[in-house]
This record gives sequence, C-alpha cells and structure tokens, in this order.
Amino acid sequence: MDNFLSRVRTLTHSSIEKHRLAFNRFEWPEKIQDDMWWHSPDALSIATSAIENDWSEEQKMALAKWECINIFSLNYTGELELMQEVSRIMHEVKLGEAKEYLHHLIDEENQHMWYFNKFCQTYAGKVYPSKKIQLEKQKLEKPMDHFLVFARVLIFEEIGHYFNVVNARDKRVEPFIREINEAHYHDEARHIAFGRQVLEQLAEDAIVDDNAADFVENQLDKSIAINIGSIYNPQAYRDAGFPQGVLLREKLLNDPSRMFIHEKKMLSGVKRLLGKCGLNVMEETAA
Amino acid sequence: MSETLDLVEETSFDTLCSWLKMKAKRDEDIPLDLNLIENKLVDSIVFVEFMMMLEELAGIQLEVNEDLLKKVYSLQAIKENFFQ
Repeated sequence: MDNFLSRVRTLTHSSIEKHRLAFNRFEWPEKIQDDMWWHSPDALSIATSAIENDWSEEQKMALAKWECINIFSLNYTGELELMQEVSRIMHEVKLGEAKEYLHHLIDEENQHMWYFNKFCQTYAGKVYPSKKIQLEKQKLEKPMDHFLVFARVLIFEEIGHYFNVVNARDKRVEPFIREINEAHYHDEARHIAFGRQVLEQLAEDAIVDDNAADFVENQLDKSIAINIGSIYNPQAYRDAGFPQGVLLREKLLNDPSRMFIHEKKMLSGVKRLLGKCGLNVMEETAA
Repeated sequence: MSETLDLVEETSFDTLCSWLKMKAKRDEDIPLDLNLIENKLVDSIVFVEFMMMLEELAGIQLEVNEDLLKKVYSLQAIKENFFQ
C-alpha cells in the first residue's frame, strides 16, 4: 500500500502541476476542411486489413472524417459513463488517501467530455450515440463491483490511448485535431498509470477464488468485445459513403490483421496487467 | 405506392428477423411476441449489433436508453415502432 500511495501522490502532484483548463486552452478554427486528414490513415478501421487496398485515397479521407467523429463521440459517451461509475463508488472504494486522485480524474474527464462534444457538434453537427447498455443486471459484492468498474475504465482508456498516440504523432493529421489528440494523450497517460495501480490494489479482495476469476474474465471479455466493436461504426461507414455498414463492420472485426492490432497494439497493456491479477482475457482471439 | 412501400418495409423487417435467428442460432423462426431480452436471445454484445442492424435497415439513428428497450423488447414491438 505504501508504494501505491507514493505513486498516486506523484500522479496527483502531476495533475495539479500540469493542469491546463481545457475551456480556454484551444484556438477553435471556424471550419475543418474535408480534404484534410481528420484521422491518421494508420488509425482507420480498414488499416492493414485485407480490403484496405480496395479503397482510394479520397475514400479513405472521407472515412477518416467520420472515424474521427466516431472516436471523439466514443470518448465523449465513454467518459460520461466513466464519470457516472467512478462517482457512484468513489466514497466506498478501499483506496485510502489515494481516493483523492479520483477528484482529479473526474475533473479532467469532465473537460475532455466538453471538448469532444464541442468538436463533434461544431464540425460534424452530431455525436454518434452510444449503443452500450447493461442488460444483465447483477447485484455484486462491493470489492468485485469496484474492481470491475476500474477494469472497464482501463479497457476503455487504453483503446482510446492507441488512437491518441497514432493521431498525435502523424504529421498528415490536421493540426488542430493533432493538438486535441496530444492534449488528451497527456491526461490519459496519468489516468492509465493510476488505473493500473488501482487494479492491482483491488484485485486481492475481488478475485477471491476461481469462480470469481471466471466471472470477472467473462465480464471483461464482454467489455472488450463491446469496446473494440464500437470502433467499427456502421453509421460512420454510411456517412462516408458506404451503404452496407454492418457488413463492412463484420468483415473488419473478423479480419486477422485487425484482430492482431486489437490484441497487440490496443490491449496488450490491459492483458498483461490483468494477467498479473491472475486473470486471462481475450483467450479465444489469442488462440 | 403504399403497397410498394409496405413490401420494401416487410423485406427489411424480414431481413432483421433472419439475422437475429442466425445470431441466436435458432432453427425455428423467433415468435414475434417473444421477449428477446428476458429469454436471453440477445446479450449486451448481440444487442449492440442488433441495434446497428436495425438502424441500417430502418434508416434511423438510435440512442440506447431505458425508453428504447421498451420499443425493441420483441420483434412485434420493433415492427410496430420502426417498420410501419
């Protein structure tokens, strides 16, 4: 616990030192031209897939606009869900004085939500709504509930981090969009570091036996499937000019090269961390 | 005109039913009044895909919340709310 608290104190200090108010941070351009890369070609959902070469540069650029809006919409709706869930448990979770960091996390996520929503509404006139809903409502013991909340947050953040990194580094991406990705990247790097520490801390009380491990693995595999699936939005494909969005989505979700990216580029950190907690996720896709 | 429109909408609805039957790995047709959620024909993962399919076939955009669940709990409810 001492090491954990010391690391979280460092993160808290960093959040205070590096705090930049998002509300006056950016110079918002009046318009972003359609003939710019809104999203790195390397981050497109068709990148490296068997069908990528069938797409012209013009088609890819159209897709980049709507996939940028999709990823920013996912950031907005996902961070809203994160704030609701973390707020629900923040006064009960057994993290000692490290709970203070949750106030910084919620503060920063609130500002991210603001700029992602503003971006989507200003430049595309809409946010893609979330399709996520918890259909199987279960009453869980608190340690299990708290572990699952932070594990789901980490899965969501690590996937988002992949897009921040690829877009922030790619000089082809429109400068304002790169700047947003970079700003988000810096805050999320702290949140991910915190989330990894928290999960290790909460695992002992949550994963009490094999049954608990099986249950958590099952829940997290579903969460991974839903989060990965949301990258492939049929409405974004239709907005980019491809009417059979659902069919395209299914093709891409089953493309071996895309599955490799999910596991090795987006979720390898999550998988390794959960492994340290005694959990094996994504076993089916790894086989 | 109306007959043509009905035919098109019936076809889209049938496509949705066939898709769900395939996803749920059922040999028989799914009864229209069957509660899809209570009878576990859709879980959280299939539900997302199901809503995406419904959006594409009905040409709409859906926001998922408790109110939507009342409109999509059975195939009959979906037919009445989105294909008439």
